[in-house]
Amino acid sequence: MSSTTIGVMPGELTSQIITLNLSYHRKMRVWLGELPPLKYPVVDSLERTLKARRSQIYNRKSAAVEMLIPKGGRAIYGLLGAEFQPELSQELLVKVAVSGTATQQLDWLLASRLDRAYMGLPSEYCHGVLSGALSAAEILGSGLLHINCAAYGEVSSSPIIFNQLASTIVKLLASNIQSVLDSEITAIVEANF
Amino acid sequence: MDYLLGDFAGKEFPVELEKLNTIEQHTAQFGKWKPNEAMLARLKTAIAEGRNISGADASFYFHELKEAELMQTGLDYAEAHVRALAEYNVSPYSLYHPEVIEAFPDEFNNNWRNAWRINQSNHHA
Repeated sequence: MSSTTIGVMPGELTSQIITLNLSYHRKMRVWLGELPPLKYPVVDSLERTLKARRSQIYNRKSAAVEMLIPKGGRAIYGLLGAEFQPELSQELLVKVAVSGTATQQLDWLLASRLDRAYMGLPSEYCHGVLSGALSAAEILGSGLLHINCAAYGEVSSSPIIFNQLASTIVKLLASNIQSVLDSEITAIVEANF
Repeated sequence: MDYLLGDFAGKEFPVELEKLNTIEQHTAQFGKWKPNEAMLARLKTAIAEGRNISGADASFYFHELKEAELMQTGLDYAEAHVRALAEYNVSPYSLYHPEVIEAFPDEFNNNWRNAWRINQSNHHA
């Protein structure tokens, strides 16, 4: 497994873009402390309130993960990002922003060379995202987890990849963004994919 | 579903054991994935029963052979995959049999089911 850090925002200690070349030809990008420019028109919202311990996180955090997993006859692709705002309560609200399917096609995504890739999160993937994020109550604690950044491939996306991405993001949001290592990120990824 | 199948529409082909081994070795480099295992099992069954293949089975078989050949020349996966699709004028949705798509619903989105006209009543909208 090889990994390469390609971008750290100048003068910004808490914001990183990391590209990882993983085993089995997999490629991954991670945004920590910022989100990629994928704010899409929201047509619906899926919400779930969960009992949670008081969060031990004291600042607003954000993270996004993009995965491209070749499998031969097809690749599997998805990008998901979220913001976590800790709150002094005993609940976690998970909000998933749903897009339509007629969203903007993009050419800079990992899937763009082999699929038509679009910003947004169509409804067919939202239940997978929500179930993947349910561990957030235990891991992140009380607050608002807003999943509002996403991209998908016309052929290459699937419900299961978005479930895995949501689970991965929760763990990344719980990590210390200022000092997280590539090896820690790959360990989180290997546990989820 | 001939519109998905490009050059393979309406045709049948024998499966050769040596080529099947090439496909197994090629797909192994991407790690285990149940839909690939299911497609390979269909090809093995065709050999065991002395049957020709057609449709998605033929599309998967020839696509993986071409993709393997192109990656062996040094192309990366994305380039090899796109060129292999173009080689036979097939839809990307032609590469997995509808029975495999139905068997692993969380691995395929609604576009795959739409392409094969699979009933979506058991899947999320």
